[in-house]
Amino acid sequence: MSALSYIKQQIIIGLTSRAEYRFSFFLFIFLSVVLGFLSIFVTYAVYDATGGGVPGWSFYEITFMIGVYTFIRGIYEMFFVIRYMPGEIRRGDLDMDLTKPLNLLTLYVRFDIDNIGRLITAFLMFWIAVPNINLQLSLFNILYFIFLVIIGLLAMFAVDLFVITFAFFVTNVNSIQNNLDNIRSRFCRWPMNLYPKSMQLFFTFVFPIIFIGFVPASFFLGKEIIFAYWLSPIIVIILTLLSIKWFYYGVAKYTGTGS
Amino acid sequence: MSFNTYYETVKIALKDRMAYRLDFLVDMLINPFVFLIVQFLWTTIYAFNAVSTIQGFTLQETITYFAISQIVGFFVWTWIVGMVGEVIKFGDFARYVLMPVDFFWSMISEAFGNKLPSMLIKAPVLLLLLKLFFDIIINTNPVYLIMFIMSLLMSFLLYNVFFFIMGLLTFWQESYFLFELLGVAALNFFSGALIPLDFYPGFMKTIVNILPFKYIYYSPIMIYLEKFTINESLSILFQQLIAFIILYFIAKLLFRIGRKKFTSQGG
Repeated sequence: MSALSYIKQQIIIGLTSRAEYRFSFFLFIFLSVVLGFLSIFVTYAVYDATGGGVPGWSFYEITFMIGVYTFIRGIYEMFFVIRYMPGEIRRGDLDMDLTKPLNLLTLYVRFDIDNIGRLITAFLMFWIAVPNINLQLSLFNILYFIFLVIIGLLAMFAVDLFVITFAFFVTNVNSIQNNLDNIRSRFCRWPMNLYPKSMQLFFTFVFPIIFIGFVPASFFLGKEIIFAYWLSPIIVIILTLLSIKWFYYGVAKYTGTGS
Repeated sequence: MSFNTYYETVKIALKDRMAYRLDFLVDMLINPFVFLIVQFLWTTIYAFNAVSTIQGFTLQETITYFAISQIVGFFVWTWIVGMVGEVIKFGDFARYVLMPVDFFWSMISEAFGNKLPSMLIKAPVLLLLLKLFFDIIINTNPVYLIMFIMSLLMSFLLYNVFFFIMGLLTFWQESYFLFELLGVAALNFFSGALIPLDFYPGFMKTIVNILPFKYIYYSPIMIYLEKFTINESLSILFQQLIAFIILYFIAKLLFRIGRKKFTSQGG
């Protein structure tokens, strides 16, 4: 089976399994949207209570930025489920995966339709924000924005891959995963220029979450960032390659869990 | 059914929890880092808007609010919804029906045992770390501290009876996950876990005042910050107790109805 037909099969399985429990599925989507809106509700409350909010960003611009973050995360988690790998290592299921005639990372391309809630949330956020912000619309800007969204997806992948690789060395990485997820979702919900330069650099070159939301949104809104926009792809590609190298180092060191 | 039975459940759950020491350590190291966002965000907001108070909160009080919110989280957050849901879903419920223990108190004891390391170690250590690195208020007034701790214990009971009810709904649905999500959404919106309820717009303040969720996060934090007088704080403790009793009876009722449904399905 080729990688493409494997992915196609995963999408069909994802759709048919959800069709079995339609009511639960729609309720789940609704609740995901409600929870997704919680972050812009908090932003709204901050702007409402203070009158001015945060410097350089209007409420609608932050809504747009959170929308971009939610969209990138939704797309990523809909198709790529590498976050489940530590669980499979713990249960010993990875040993079976290693015997399959496909690249190990391809096996984690699945179709998780539950993330459709994130995409709906993102589009609702765009719907609220776009009429109230000044987007720098031009063909080049639209294309480069799409390119930056893809770079954001790559940054999500690089961070995830880096973290889950620890599962090859210590059995339980739940806490590391949860905490880093916590950092990612909290820091990505406010403009990065609120933080000191040292933290901005950390989130650019070490833990590149600046690319998941802030950079693409800032570009489209015509805002200055601490480095040139054209540098983003280079940084993310280098970090992704390093993560992949680290991952295969982990695979090589993996000796099984004895399950 | 004796107190010893529940005491043993607490001890077993505590041992189980202590097996995850690495998780514990990582939590301790990362939490202060996550707290940086609170510090930078709110310092910027107060400076940018050139205000000394927002909705009656000084910058130091706001930052302390978020610090204590994390402490409350360490006290209350458990996975009781999943514990109850899985017992019902996978048929273990029949075992509990036969055992001479009360299902609610048995689950609460297990949740409490799981939570003890967080309550006794994580919470004080985090508070100390936050005090070292950030400008938060450490309340040393013994009267308020006692009321705060009592309020935290009531928050624990309220949180857990609420999510126990959410877990019981598994009797009527194939999965508890939806109810967990529903509970988390309600808690996040209405409890003051994410932002002081005083910062909410007017229409939302009316809603949160009717609902009992504010007793889980907002009330203990406000007691800690001495935003209530001693009499008001005592009144809050009483209201927490009443809210718990009401939810407890709802849980009992649901349990009775659900148990019949479970028996009729054959488990």
